[in-house]
Amino acid sequence: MSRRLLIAVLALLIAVAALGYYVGRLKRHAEIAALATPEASAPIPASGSQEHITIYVPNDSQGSLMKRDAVATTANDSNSRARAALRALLSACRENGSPHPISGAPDIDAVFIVDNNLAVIDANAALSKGHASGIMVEQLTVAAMAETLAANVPGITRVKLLVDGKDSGTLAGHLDLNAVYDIATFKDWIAQ
Amino acid sequence: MTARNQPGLPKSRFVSRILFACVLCTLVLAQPEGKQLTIYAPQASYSVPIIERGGLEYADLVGTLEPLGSVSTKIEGRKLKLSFNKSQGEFTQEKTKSKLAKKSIDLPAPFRIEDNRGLLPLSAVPQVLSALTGMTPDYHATSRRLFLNGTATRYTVDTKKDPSRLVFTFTSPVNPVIATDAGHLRMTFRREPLLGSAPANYDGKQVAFSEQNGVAQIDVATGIPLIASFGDGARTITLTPVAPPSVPAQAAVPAPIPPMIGSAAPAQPPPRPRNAVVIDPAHGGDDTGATLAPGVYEKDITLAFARRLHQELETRGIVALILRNNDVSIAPEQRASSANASGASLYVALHASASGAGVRIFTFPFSEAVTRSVTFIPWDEAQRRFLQASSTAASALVTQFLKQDLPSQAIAAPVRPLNNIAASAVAVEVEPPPSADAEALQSPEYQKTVAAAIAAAIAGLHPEAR
Repeated sequence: MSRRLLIAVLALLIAVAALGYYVGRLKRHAEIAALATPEASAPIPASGSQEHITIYVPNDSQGSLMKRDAVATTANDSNSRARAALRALLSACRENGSPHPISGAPDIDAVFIVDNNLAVIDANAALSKGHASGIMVEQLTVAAMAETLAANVPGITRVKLLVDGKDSGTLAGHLDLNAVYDIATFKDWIAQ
Repeated sequence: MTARNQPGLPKSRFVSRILFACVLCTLVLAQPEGKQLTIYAPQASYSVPIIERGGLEYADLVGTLEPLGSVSTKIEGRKLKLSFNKSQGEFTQEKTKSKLAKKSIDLPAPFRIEDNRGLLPLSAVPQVLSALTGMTPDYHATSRRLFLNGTATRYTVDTKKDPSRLVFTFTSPVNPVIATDAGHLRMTFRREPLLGSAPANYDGKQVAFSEQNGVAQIDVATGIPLIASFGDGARTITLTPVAPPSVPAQAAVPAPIPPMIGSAAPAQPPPRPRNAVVIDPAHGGDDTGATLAPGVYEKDITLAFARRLHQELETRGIVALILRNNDVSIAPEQRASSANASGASLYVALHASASGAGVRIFTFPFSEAVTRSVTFIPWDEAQRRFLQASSTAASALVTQFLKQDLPSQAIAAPVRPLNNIAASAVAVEVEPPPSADAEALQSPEYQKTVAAAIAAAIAGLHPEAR
């Protein structure tokens, strides 16, 4: 093998090694970015007026719902009002020291009121991703959403939860989201 | 590739493949019929399924040790590190050289690591248990029964008071499954460390002891129908001839007695475990369930609880089947199909959660009563007609947990596959005890307390099964 060919091969090997290192670094950065918890962004307020509303925050250790006041930017139409109430509930769950913590950036993309009594809630995928897994803890989230809606949108008696616009099977591995939930079944869950 | 992805696949082949898959699943899940090793120790009697690999028989390492103490394993590359009570051990994949309690031992066949669990050659189980527990083993290899520290129940047969009767007296309480047909009676002892003697003849009644596949049996051949009755705290079993019939011989065969554990039942077909319990450890395989603590997955905790519950139920004489006895993924529909096919009267799904404290019991909520006069019941509503019985079971469980000072409540929640179960069905979610963190879910004491409470509640539901 000539000297020139040897140098060329060595140079190529060094270039390949350098490129491999660079690609490896890029990949690692991408993985770290993917693993990092997304910054909890505050919900974008809907247009409307500021209002004191009632929300029901789950308490995991007690297995109950706690009545709480919250401030939300509400609108006149039922869909927007329902969405604002649920976003206030999720904000409460993201607070430090929340009795029912949900990590990440859970949000409500939309709420559709059907036949004046069924609320179809479309949550983003971050709700499932950041939610603790367990039958009770998942059911508490649905119960809190149901009671919060009942407190703020008159006439709602049933709720159905979608994730990213679809029936997602379970909320976080346990609770069957194909079901339509009757709000009346959660009345006993409210701590007196 | 599935049949569905092959456009030219004939329909008959597709159907036959589906049928084959169903048969295979049934065979895999029908564990009670499989080979098993039964271990009798002073603190527990339990069975471990036998796994065949390369023509050799293996047993799950953790399964063989778990009822005897606190056990944990850690896999590092090709090595499995074992911690059992205060002893340590180390096994290597495909190697026979192992270390146990600071001593080097040679296994009779290579150790295997599969699906994050260690498989111990069956013939090495006595040696390993002896090294780790210090107990003296007595292994009956052909019948796969292992007696530790001289644990044994013996019996005598007496005909002195009444020659027409056979009175079996046991050294400790027993609870065999008894099957009869004309002139023949068989007692099968699944949990009792029964040791027998040579066949004998008592006034024309042949009594023979045998042992196979981890169980012991006593066969009595008399030529006349017999019924069995228990006495002296289940320490004696008296076999009495059925009164001679006064009707023609054709009708003389006694009507089949409903199959029931601990009572007489027809030998053919085999008794169906009417009061059996199906234990379903939730999750498994790729579905890890909740991450309860770093490296601690719900699927492993539910399996540990399931094994303890199985043991507690069998101790109480209740037949129990575990739907998943290793780390495999099973679809909810498959779990429901297996549970329904078993004919069990109660289905218990086990879950675990790091949130909350105590134990919560769930039944499936059906929003409104439906009255249909249809022949076929919709799959998603199979549970509907058993709701009352499920609620009764849930209440019994809550009562039992409250007796143990564990917070508990019964709740309705849509959890699959409760709605597909055609029997009483509950999901039990075990949370840490009050003022403890999720690590407590791994505690053998806590697992035993919870399992014993569930078993006691179930025993209360079916007192006749004891």
